[in-house]
Amino acid sequence: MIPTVAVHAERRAASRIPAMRFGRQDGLAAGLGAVIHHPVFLFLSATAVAFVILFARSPAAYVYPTMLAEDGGWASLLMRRGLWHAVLNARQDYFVAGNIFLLWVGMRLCDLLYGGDPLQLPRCFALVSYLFLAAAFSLPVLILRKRLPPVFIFLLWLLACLLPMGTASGYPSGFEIIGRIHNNGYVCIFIAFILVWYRNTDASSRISFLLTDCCLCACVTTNPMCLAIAPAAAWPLARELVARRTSLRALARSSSLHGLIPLALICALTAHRVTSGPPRDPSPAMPTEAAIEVGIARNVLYPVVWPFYTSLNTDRTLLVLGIVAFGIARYGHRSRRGIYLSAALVLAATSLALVHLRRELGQCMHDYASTWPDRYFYGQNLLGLLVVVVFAADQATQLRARPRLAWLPAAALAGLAALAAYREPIWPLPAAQFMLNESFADRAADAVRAGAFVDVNDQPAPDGDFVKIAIHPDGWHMTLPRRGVEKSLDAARRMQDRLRRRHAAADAEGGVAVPVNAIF
Amino acid sequence: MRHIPAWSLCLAGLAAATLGGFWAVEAAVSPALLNTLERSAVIAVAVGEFLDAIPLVDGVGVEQELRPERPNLTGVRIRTAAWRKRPSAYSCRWQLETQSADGHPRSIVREGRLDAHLARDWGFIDIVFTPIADSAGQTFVLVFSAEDQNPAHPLGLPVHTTSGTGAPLRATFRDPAPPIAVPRHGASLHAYLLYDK
Repeated sequence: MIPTVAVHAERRAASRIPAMRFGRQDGLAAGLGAVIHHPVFLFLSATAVAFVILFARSPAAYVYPTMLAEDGGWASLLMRRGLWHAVLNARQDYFVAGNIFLLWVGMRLCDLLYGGDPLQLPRCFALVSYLFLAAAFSLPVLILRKRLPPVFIFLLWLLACLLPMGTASGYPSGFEIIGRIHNNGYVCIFIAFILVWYRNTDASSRISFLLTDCCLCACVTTNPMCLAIAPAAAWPLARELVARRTSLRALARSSSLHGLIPLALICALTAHRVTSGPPRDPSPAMPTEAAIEVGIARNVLYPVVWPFYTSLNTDRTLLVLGIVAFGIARYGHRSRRGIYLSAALVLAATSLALVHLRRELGQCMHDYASTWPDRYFYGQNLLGLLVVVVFAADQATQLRARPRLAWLPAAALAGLAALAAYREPIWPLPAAQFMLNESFADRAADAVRAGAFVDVNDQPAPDGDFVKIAIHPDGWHMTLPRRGVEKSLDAARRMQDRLRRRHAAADAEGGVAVPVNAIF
Repeated sequence: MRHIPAWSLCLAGLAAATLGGFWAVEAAVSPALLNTLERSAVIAVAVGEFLDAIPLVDGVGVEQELRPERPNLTGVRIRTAAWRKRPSAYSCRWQLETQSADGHPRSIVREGRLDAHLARDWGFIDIVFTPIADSAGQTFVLVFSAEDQNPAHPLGLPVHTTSGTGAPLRATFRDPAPPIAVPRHGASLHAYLLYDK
C-alpha cells in the first residue's frame, strides 16, 4: 500500500512540472485556477448571479422606477439633515442604520451613474437593494465553507434566492422587498446568525474578528431582533471563563474580547431605544389560533410548509411542528445541537416579538389564506432554511456509508428549489407590480405643476428649495431639491420633444415611427 | 497580493458576465412591463380594515359605488374570497350603472358575466370593458348578483371599512338573516379602478 503522504508529495511535484516547463503563461493559468477556487471570488460570483436572479424576480423596481414608502421618507431626511441625523432620527422606536447607509450608497450611486438626477433615485435604490440581498444570501459561501459541504452551501444559496414571497397571497409580494431598501433590514437576522456562528467557530485572526464585529454592530443597529442573537457572540469567552477557568488577564489579550465591548455597548444602546420608544398601538391581543399561525406556521415552518401552506390549520401546524422538532432532536447530529438550539431560541424569540408587538398581523393572514406581508418573516424564514440545510447535510453525512441513499437529502433540497422556481417563476410581472404604476417622474411632474414647494423644515413655501412629491402608497411623501427635479423634468421634456419631432418627421416621410414612452 | 493579473482577469470577466445577465433580463422584461404599465393606470379605492366576505349566492346583491376621477375608465380590479376553496364553476352577473345626483333612474352602461371558478381565494379579478371616455367626475354603481344559483363553493367579495374617502357599499339580502352584517355607510369592496391612458 502506498503511503498517503507519498501520494500527496507526488501530486504536488507533478503539479509543479508544467509551471517549470511553460514559465509565465502557466503562472497565469495557475493563478486563474487559484482565483476561481478562492472563497472571496466564489462569494463575489454567487453575489453576481443572485443579483441577476433577484432583478429577474422583481424587475419593476428598476425598469419602471417608483418610490415606495420609507425609501422616500428616509432619503428625504438624509438629503435635508445629513447622515447622522437620519441614522438617529429615522425611527423613534429603534435604529435603522443599515437601511440609511444603503440609501446613502444609493444616492452616491445616483451621482455616479446619473449625475445626481433625483428622479433616478428609485432606480439606484433598486440596484443597491438587489446587491445587498444578493450579498446577504451569498454570505454562507464566504464564511460557512468549513461548516457545510459545498453542495449544501450552494443549495442554501439557491433556496434563499428563490424563497417564495407571496405564495397564496394572490400575487407575489416580493415586489415590496426585492428592490426596496426600507424592507431589506429584516435580512439582518439571517446575517447576524451566520456571523455569530462563524465568530464562535472559525474566526481566528484579528481582522476577521474586527470585520465580524463591525457587521454584527451594523445588524443590531438595523434590526432590533438581532438583540436575540448578538449576546451569543460572548459564548466562547464565557465558556473559557467559567468552565475552563481561564484567567481574566489571559482573556483580555484575546482579539475576541476586544470586539465584544463595543458590541455590548451598541446592544445596550439599541435595547434602551427599543424600550424607551413611543408606546405601540394598543390593539387587542392576537387570538391563540392567529398567534399559532403567525408565530409558528408563518414565522418558523414556512420554509418547509410553503408548498401546502393554505392546507394548514391550527392542529396541522402543531403536528408539523412536533414532527420537525422530533426529527431534529432524534436525527440531528450531536455536534450541531448548539446550532439547532440557538436557531430554535432565536425563532421562538422573534415569534413572541411578532405576536406581541405586531398584533395586526393576525388579521392579515386570514386563516392560512394568505402569507402576506412577507417582509416581517423572510429574515426568519432564511434562518429556517439554514436549519433545514444543516439538517439535510447531517443526514447526508450519516448516510455516507450507503451511497445509494446519500444523495437523497441534497436531491430533496434541489426539488424544493425547483418547486419554488416553478411556483413563483422569475419575472411573472404580477398585477401587484402594476398597482404601483404611476412612475416617480409622473408624481414629480404632478408636484411641480401643483406648486407643492416646501422649505427645509418641510413647511409649505412658494419659494421653497424643495418640492414635496406624493409617493406610493397613498399618504406618503418625499421631499427633493427643487432645482434638481425641475432640471431633470426639463431634460426629460426636451428629450420627449425631440422624439416627437423625429416621430412626426418619420410619419411625414412614410418611414417607421419611433415609439414614445411619455412620462407626462 | 498574489496573482494580480489573474484576479484582474477574473473580476473583469465576472463584471462583464453580470452586466450581460442584467441587460439580458432587462431586454426580456422591459417591453412587456412597460407596455402594460403605459397602456393603463391603476388607482386604488382607499379601504381600511377587512371585515368579512359576502358570498355571491342566490338572493344576495352587492352594489359598490365608484367615483372615477379620470377619463377612460376601462375596468375594475376586485379582491375575491373563496374560504380556502376553489369556487364552483358558475357565473355571476355584473353591471356598471350610472347614478345621477338628481334622482334620475339608473341606466346600465356596461355589463357582463364573470366565471367564478377563475377567481382564487384572496386574489383579484379584473372586470375589463370598453373605455368610458367621460368617466371623470361621474358616479357609477357596480352591481354583482348570482341570480338564482347556489353553488357549493361560492365566490365571495371581501368587505373592508372605508378610510374616509372611499365610496360606499350597499348589500341586499333576500333572506331575513343576511350572511354578514354590512355597515350601512362604512364599508367598501377592495377595488382598483383601471384607466386607459
